[in-house]
Amino acid sequence: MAKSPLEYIESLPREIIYTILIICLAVPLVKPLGLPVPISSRVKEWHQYVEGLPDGAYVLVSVDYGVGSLPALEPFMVATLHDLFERNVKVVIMTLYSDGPICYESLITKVNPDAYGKQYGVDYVFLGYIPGGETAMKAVAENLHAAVPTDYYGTPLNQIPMLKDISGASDFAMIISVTPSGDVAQGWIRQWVTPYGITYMSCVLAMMMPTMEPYYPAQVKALTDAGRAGEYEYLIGKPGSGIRKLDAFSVAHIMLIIAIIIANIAYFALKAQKKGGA
Amino acid sequence: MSLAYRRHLPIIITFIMGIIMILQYFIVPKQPVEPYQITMQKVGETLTNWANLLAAFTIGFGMVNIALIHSRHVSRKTPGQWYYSAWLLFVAVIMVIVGIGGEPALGINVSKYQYDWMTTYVFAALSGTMYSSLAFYITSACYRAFRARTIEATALLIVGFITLMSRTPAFQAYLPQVIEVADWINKYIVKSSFRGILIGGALGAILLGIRTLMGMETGYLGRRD
Repeated sequence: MAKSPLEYIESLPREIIYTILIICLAVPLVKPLGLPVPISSRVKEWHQYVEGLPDGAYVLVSVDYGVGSLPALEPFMVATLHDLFERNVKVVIMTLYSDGPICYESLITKVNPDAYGKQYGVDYVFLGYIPGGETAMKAVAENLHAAVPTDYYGTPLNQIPMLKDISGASDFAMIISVTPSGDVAQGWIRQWVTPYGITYMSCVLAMMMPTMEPYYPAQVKALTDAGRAGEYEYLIGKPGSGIRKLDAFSVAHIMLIIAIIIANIAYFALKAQKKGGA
Repeated sequence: MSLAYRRHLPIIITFIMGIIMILQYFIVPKQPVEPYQITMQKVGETLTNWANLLAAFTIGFGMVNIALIHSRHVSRKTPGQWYYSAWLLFVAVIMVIVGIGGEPALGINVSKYQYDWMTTYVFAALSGTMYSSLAFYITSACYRAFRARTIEATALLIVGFITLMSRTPAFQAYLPQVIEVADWINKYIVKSSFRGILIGGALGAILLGIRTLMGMETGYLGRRD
């Protein structure tokens, strides 16, 4: 028996939903709508913490994502590194993901530290992939030189000028982690924040925000989701891929809201029809 | 294999290592002074580095495991699977050869450019595609699941709507009040609920840790023959 129009709308084939979503995402990416970019308080707070770093402070930046989540997380990481390289701070970069070095290469190409006059080994360094998850965090915190004898390119840490006098977590002013993993985001709290009291800033996926909210602002001083990369780029005046996605977010979210309303109208209309028929 | 070797020895090792890690966390101060504190700190650091080495080893172990499982599928010609397994093994071998800089004995000389090209335009693109396909599944699931069927479902629908609107840049700009409502939900309802869940989970984890140390939890020993 053929479906009535209401029944059809109520159980719309997924192919149609997918097609509408593709159009809603693609059109604003190809032809930006130029919607306003409001800056949320979470992004302002993140920027204020970076801005407040004293000269010469050491910051550990953990690129805690793999290539799968790179498109979602990289824009925020790029904006953060731009913000850090604007200042006179020392940036130690590492990753807990085996494909993290690929993400680092992509990241550093986009940020281009040379443009800020930053020199590898003096102003920033990449330690590479450190296996072990939470035990790696602990090992780095306790004794950096024992946990990671060389940097990613094989240079012994005691030959890298900026790392000669660094022994572990107590030498760092801040830790920044951008990750799609709850274990990683919370692991930093357990291994760095609780024992050493380091200022921790965490950027996660939007869907992970509820799981991280309990730690904000006591343990996680600045907490935001990576979808706000466009706002951050706008705030620091470094437009990148995040800002281009904002219009697509708006259109796709509005489409979803309208679709849910239509589905509910169809559901109640069907219900009323069935009641009337009975 | 004797019971002592198969069961008692791993439990004893787990107990000793667990107790050492707990003691060094609580006994060793940030700046150890006493000889026993320095010794405990060194032992703790060594054990942590061992754990990291084991984690690194599991990557190689995983590769061997994948090779064994998929070689079996290919040799047995498992219907609907063997050609995927063959393709996986072929691509894995290519990636390894390219990753280690080629194999001159086979006449394959690879530069960093070729490795970068494969990771950027093959691996990264495919991984990103897999991940972003979630957006389609979630949209379809929202369309089907968000129905005001009951009071609980209606509450979920309303909160879902507010959250979605608060995360939409257009609404943030033209209807900023929605952010305040979403913030209130996050600050009071979400945070308190998740804190309850977290505390419950933490208590469970402590209990599991104690049971593991006491040898009452033996799941990590693997299957009993």
